Amino acid sequence: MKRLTMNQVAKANLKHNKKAYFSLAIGIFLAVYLACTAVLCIYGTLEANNEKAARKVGWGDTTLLDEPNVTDDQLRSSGYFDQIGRIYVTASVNDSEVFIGRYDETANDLMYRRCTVGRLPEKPGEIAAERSALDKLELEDANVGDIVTFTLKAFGGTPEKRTFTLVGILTEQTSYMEHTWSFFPEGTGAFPAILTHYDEPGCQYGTPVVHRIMTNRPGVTLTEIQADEILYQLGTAAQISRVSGNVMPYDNRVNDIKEQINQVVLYLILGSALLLSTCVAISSSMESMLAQKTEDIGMLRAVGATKKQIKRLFGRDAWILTLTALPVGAILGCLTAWIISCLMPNELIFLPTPWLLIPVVLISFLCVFLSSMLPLRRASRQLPMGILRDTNTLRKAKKFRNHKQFKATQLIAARQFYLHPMRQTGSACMIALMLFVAILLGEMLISTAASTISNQAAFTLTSRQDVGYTLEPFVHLKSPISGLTQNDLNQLRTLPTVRSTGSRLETQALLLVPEELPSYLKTHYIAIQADAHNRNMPVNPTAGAIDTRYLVVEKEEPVHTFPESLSYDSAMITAKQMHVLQSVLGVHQNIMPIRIIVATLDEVDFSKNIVDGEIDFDALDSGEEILVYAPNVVAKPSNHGMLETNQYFDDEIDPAAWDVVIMNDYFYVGQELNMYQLFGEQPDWFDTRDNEGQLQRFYSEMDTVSFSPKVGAVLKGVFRIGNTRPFGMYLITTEKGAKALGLMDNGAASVSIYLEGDPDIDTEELLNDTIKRIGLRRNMTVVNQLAINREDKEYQTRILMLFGGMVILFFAVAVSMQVTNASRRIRADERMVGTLRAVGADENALLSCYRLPIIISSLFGFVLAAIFYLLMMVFYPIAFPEWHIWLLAIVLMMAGLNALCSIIGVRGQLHRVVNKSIIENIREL
Amino acid sequence: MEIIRSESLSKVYRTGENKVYALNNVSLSIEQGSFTAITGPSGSGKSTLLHLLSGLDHPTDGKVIYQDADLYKYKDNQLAVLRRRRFGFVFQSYNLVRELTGWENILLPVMLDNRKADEEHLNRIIDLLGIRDRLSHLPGAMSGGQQQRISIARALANKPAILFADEPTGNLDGKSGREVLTLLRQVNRELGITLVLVTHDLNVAEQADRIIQLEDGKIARDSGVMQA
Repeated sequence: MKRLTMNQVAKANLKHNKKAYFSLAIGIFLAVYLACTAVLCIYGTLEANNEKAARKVGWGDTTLLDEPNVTDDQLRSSGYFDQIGRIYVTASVNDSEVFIGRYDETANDLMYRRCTVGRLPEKPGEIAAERSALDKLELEDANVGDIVTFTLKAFGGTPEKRTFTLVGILTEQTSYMEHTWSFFPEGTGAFPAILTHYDEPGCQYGTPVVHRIMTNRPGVTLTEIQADEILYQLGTAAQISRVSGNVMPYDNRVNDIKEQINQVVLYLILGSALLLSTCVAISSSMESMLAQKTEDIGMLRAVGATKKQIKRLFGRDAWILTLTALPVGAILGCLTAWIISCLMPNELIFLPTPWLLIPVVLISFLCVFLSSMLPLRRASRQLPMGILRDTNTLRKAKKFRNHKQFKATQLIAARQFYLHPMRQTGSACMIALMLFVAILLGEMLISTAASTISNQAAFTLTSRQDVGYTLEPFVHLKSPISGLTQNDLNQLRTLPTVRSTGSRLETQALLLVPEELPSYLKTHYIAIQADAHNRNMPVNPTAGAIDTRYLVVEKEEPVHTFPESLSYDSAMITAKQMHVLQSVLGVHQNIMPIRIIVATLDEVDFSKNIVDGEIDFDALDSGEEILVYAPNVVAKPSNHGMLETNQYFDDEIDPAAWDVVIMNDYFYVGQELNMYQLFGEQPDWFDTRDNEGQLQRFYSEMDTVSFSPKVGAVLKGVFRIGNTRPFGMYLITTEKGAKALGLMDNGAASVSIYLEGDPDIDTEELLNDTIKRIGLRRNMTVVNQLAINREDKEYQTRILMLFGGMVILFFAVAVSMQVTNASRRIRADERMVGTLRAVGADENALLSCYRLPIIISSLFGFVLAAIFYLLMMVFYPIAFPEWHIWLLAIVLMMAGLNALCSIIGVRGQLHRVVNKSIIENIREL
Repeated sequence: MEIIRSESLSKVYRTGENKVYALNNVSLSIEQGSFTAITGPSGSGKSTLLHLLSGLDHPTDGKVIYQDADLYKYKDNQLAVLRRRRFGFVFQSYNLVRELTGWENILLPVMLDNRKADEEHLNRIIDLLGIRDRLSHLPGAMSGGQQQRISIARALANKPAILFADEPTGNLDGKSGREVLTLLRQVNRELGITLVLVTHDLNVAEQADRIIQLEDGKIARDSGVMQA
């Protein structure tokens, strides 16, 4: 006789109970589909980020800059590196900061250069260049196919002219690679922004600078490389982070991992939440399905089936459904991931690699296994006779009490809900998920709206170099490069749709402070342990811009109190310089350098920042008054061996939460600030900082102005001048005020341009071109905030569409789950429906039996979503800064709408049952 | 005085081309306060007749006249109101709502009618049926006889004019069956409720005032109305 296998029984079960298994099949299909989508999205996001970062910094792990004394063999024999490529920086172009160079074959692979237009050079005489490099060379109109002539100057060589054909526009890379190397002399830390073919002959005179790009052997970190005794001298080895897309001189591995986790955390949260609710849905479907099979299970147990056999028999159904759902779920998951990748091409790459099927299958089976485990266990543990007599109901009935007055159908619904709470959990979780995604969508809409209405500058121009810089602590040396002049500013102001321009220049003056240094101006120390070193980190209100420790040097014990960043000797020299300056100026007070911001203040909102006094623009313009930004500064060691400081407090500071609290006890309204400014060009003869005679002559020859404005207002907290936030303490005045005070004028280092409303495309193009030309004249970077905002908006729209689609999808799934649940119950309860009809219940009364669980699960879903919202506000306040009660009201309405749609669906199902006669309803099958 | 009557009542089941007459052109009249037993062999149409008289099923043809109106001309909701106020029904398999206790099952028609229970009346029924100690139990915790008593109490809760009982003793052992039957007889006599009972047990039928015997969907014998 042929043997009857479990599979055959399970298949027959499925075949003859298709309707009963429908919602279980949907749940399992969803698990497979979501697992596939989540896996593809997470993998695609990681790959997209890798690819994005590789375009910025290539595929290398470590760079080694201009170290001719170290050979490739030495590097290889160190055992730290796999591949070593060479980057040749041949020469500077047109005497600018733009460099031309070439790669060897390995570097060519590792640097991963790509063109936005055209191609890479394939023979000598061809070049590909970054667009920013062409802009710097005032070749912003150059296109692929153009012939360009450059004057090349190799390091230590003489200029020579050479002509090339431009064959490609490279993606921007140099600025990321040069991130930390700006201090290298004469551009030896530079990377080529213009590429030639490898066979392009070098310059006749001079030598190229050679950088190495290397991949590390597995597990090797920069810390290990830097700690190696032989390679210790390689102070310029740095890590290339494909996570942050920058080059860093220190090991940033932990942060890289954190960043990587951050990138996938959204998909993880979303995917896990989806899978969790799917698990609950599977569990609840399984529970309902098994509840309908209690009598079958009872009979099987009665004829001798063991618990294990019951579990295997009904569990096998779930496995068969999973196998069936796998291909369809996987295909639809791929389709969804592909749609998402099309909506967000830069954020996600669609890569359906076959091995990804392994995690998809594992996650799907795990979901089904975990979610069916509990219902199967419960079903198999019921006693044969116990099931037939509904012992479970009896046991729970002890908690019941008789009602003298009750709404019959509602009481039945409440009892059913109480006895079988799991039945509604799946749909409640789905509703919670739908509502939570709706909350996220709402929050995104709020932040999008907020960013649209904020008063942003449409264009900003910022100097690439300091317009004025300080060689000595007390003298402001004039830079050969000036910022934007009044003529430039006037030209900008007359452009169409320009409402106003705000310029910003930072300069330095000398403030006379009492010999007994006020507490606010003193430097405090915080001991920090990082990389097994103890460091004394200085903290003062200037945010480290000016070191005030020289003011107390003679009173302090040497060595211990002065950490390595400012040695005792160096502080002694500065103190000596101050003494010389005191004698030149004929003052006895201490002299402290202080930064002054000269800016257009019309567009700045100080309303939340004034601690005392008021802003009188006439007094500022006449130089009678000046504003003091004197923030209260707090500091403590952070968890990562760094210093954590804050100066942007609106509220009271909790002193207990910080190690150092520096409160303003010095500056006050009406206080006269006695100041000097020394400026001029660096004389050729000045070569030592420690020679009293030279110092005396140096200070005496500088242009000197003195001024004594009164403090008009004292400010604290956070505000923006242009697009810049304050950092550290400084004084603030207007352009006219600076002129009245006689401060050095070397042009504006940063200018913000505000427009009247949004310009049309033609006007924006005109503005962009003109502003770019003016900026390039002064070697300034131009940021078109309108274009950035537009890109942001497009991105936000795509995200909003994605989330909106998800809300609609989840809404539909939640309604269908509710309706399927109720329909299944109506089918199972048909006899009860008939009985109630026989004793006189009409259709409305019957509906209330099924309405209540729907309303309860919708409310439960709402409560869950509200709890999620609260938790997010507590643990993630940056993204959820404020509690929006109206958002909750909308979400509650959505829950209501969901319940309404479900009730309408259930009414249809109930109608079919009620259309039959009562006798058909109560007939025992 | 007549309380309910049927006129040419028929019920036909169609299975493909074939027609099966469960009830064929049955006309009868039931007197108020009487105890009528409908008997006959299995498949004779006795239960169908009871279901049609009580408005639980739809006839293929014919009328059921109650208070000068045809039951099947009523709208669904009107028929539901009639069922909960004027008719009581006792099923062979009790049909109690398993989520409700005995007491709540009894109160079901009263509560569906949004009325306050007449506790005096209910207490009388409960005492008559001897089910006071089972009131707080769920149906699953009761014996068949107890469940049937609860079902009778539920049928009587709204003081119906007619009590329809479909094989009320069919699922019970001899002793319980006899007890239930005695109770029904008591209800009929003491409360004056018209009782229409379907049974295939002649011993049960013999206790009725009138016996209607059905065969192949037609009345084969009607003992006529006897005064109690």
